[in-house]
Amino acid sequence: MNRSDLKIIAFIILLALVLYLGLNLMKKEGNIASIYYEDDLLMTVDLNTDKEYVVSGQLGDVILEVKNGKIRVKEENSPRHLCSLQGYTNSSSKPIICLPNKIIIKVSNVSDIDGVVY
Amino acid sequence: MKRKIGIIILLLILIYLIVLFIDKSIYKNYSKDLFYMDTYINIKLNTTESKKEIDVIFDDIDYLYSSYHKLTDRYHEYDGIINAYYLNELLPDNKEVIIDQRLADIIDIGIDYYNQTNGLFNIASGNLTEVWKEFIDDCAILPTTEDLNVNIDITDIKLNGNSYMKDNNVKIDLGAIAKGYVTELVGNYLEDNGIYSYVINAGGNVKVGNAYGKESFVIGITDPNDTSSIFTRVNINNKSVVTSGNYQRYCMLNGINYNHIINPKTRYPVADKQSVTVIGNNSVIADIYSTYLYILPLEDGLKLVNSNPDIEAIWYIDKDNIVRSDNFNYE
Amino acid sequence: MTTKRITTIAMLTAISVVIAIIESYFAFLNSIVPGLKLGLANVIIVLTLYRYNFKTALLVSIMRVFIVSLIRTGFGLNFFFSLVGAIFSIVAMVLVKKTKLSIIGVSIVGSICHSIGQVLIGIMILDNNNIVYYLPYLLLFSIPTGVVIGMIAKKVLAYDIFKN
Repeated sequence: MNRSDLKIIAFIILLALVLYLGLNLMKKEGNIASIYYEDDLLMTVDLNTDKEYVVSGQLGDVILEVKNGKIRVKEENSPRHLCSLQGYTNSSSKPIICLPNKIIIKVSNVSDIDGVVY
Repeated sequence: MKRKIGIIILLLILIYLIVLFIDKSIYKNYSKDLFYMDTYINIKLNTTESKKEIDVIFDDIDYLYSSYHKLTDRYHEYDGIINAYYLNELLPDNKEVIIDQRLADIIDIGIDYYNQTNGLFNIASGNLTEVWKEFIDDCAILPTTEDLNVNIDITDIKLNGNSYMKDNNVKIDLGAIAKGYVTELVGNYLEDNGIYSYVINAGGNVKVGNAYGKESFVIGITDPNDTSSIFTRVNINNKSVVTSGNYQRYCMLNGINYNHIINPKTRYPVADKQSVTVIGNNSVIADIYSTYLYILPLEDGLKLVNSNPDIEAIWYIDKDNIVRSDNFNYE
Repeated sequence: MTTKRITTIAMLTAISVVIAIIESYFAFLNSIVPGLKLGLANVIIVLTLYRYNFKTALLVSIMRVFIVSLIRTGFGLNFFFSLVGAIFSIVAMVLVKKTKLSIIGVSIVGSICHSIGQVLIGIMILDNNNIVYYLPYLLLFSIPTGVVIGMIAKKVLAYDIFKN
């Protein structure tokens, strides 16, 4: 083993470390919610940080609240507030659907469930 | 050295060809969201086809849902389309009109199931569901017996082939059948195009094909007392699952849950159970049966399902009382 | 192609196939991190690359993938993954062979490109970006395997049992 070999080993270890850290920073333990307007992705939010977000839906602003790793629709303008009534979700098999506003909130984590009847 | 570079380039081309080849033979996941029929529709496919081919298929599915949405919509008018709204609100009594064959087919099935369910499944109850819908929306003043004394007589609908005529201002409400009907069509359309592994979820009206890469699809059934979680799950292939529940559209007034499923005999919302979930081979029948079994008293429903090998059902009466049909065996 | 060359290629292929088949019984590594394997059959490839030439090594490598698939794993997806991995690995090795790296360094690069090739093709085809999360582990793991393979190859070359 010569010095070039050692250099390449050091480089690979460094690369692995950087990749590991970088990927894990991006990953956030799978607790990400994606907010869609119809088919368009508006934003992704981190469920690990408690915070409020505002997106604009069909009928005006929709206020989302992230709390304790879960997300819900806090306020919205629909006539019957069905999507704020849906409460919190933290599961990919249970998207929150704001029909009049055409906003969908999908949590991306691994789920063994393919669908939910409701 | 030159030859070496030549070989390397050849190898890269080989890799490229391998990628192309595998791309043709590997199963990929696709997903599409649609908004029709006042609901959120999600379609998930597992297929070897390329994105381009699937985009065409998704466009066709979009067209299917959108055209049936227009035909069965009873709240909106569309240019040049004779739909449920037209038949209910614009068509005068005793005047014949030729309707789209697709709409006639759905009404036909509705009438057929009226007879099979002794009138408990009634697509002619538009006038009645309208009264309750208004009440549920405002959730203020209960309708009086007089308000509820509207015409829901299905014999006032005369359907002959695709010629439609009504009497006494009877109104159709296809809400309990349309989603299941189109979902079944979409499932068949996918299978005709060689896609067998799919999950169609039309607002909780779920139809699945044959699971790829695992034993079966897992479908959760929403817990009526905590709609963000499920109370049980079923493992199915090539089946449809539909739930009717008191948590879907309702109004809570003075501690009483008034939900959107109305018993046409009593003319009041059904109040003796929280949800009924039906599993069947056909999405239309599962859709119709979930409403039918929700209206029917538990004992009668249980007897009915147990004598029909094609249908499985689970009744969520309340938190402590969950009843399964004999062939409902999961977990 | 002389009889001798044909015999040599056949022999090298046979040895690498035997090693690969023995190794396929250690498939449990694959369940820890997908794509993870010892890759000991690479010893023969490295050896061939140094003792003979790129073309011979390439031939042995591709034949090995074919034969192992034929008798063990079948011509499913794994076959293509192996093939791409093998090609990536040997191309990388021949490219760095001319540098200051010793046989051990070259073998490490070969191991790593084997992993990277498989991860890349996995992302491209499966459209599953999650595979990239395995990359750091695969990278780290290729260091010991690369070193071991390189050292074995060096020892064997020193004995020069393939002397003409």
